[in-house]
Amino acid sequence: MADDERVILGKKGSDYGLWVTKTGVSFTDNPTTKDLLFDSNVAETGGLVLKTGTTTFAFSGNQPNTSSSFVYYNLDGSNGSLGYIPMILFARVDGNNVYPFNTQHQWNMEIPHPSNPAADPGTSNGVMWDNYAQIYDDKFKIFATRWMQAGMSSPTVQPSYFNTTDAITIQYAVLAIGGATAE
Amino acid sequence: MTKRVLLGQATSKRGGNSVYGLWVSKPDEGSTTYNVETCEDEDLLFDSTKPRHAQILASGTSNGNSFTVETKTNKRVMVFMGGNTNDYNAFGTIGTNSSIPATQTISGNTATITIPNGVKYMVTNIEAD
Repeated sequence: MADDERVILGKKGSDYGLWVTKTGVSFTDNPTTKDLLFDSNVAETGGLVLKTGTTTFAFSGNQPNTSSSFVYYNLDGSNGSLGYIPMILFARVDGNNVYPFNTQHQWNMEIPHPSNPAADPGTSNGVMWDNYAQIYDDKFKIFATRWMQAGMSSPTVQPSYFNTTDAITIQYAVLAIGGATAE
Repeated sequence: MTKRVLLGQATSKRGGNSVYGLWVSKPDEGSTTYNVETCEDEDLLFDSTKPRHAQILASGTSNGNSFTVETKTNKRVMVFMGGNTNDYNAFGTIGTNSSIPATQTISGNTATITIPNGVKYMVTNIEAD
């Protein structure tokens, strides 16, 4: 493939717009959308980032649920609606560490010295559901749950087994994707 | 025909006559049109005056090896990964820390990134901090 004709601004065939091919692809190769870095004929692009930042939440006491504050996109300066619900990418970050935005975790652990052997289990296993987002056309919010079934007959919250009192930081990028399918 | 590409001096909606750049609006959706000179920011496909335009610096399924990407000096970039139901370490320390997080360390304008083996990922050029 040639690499010498990669940008068209203006007329292409019967269309007008802007097109940029990927490196190594020329318009002389008759590229299709999959070969383009930018195509003004597609309804949306993942490249347009409306907002980025971090938001935090923390659990208090032995509460199993918590949430972040609302984060407004605020492109218009007055927290107005985008007119569509955007796509948002999330990741949990902690210093140099990056974690996926999971919704379910399983674990097994040994509890070496139960404070009350008659009541406390020596092992713990189960499932925890953690974080999810509710995304609106003007804002979003992170909800989180810590919930464990600690080897008992019914689920119970045992905060002493969690180390989750510190603020948890979620990184986000709001993308201008969603308008093409808004109703 | 709707005006969808603006190259050069901005209109008042795009920032005023002291601003120059490139803007592309979304294509028409039925009876809804997006005039690049007057539409809302969220209805643009491209806006050269914005500080961010996401591109993918690296992506794929990790083999566990470290790799580097160029960044602004001492600025991390945003990294996103597919979920893993066996991530034991989503919130702090819980039991056995069998989960290996991705790491991103910065030295000058180089970010060294390590993604756990087998995890799908994408590294963007969006500044993280």
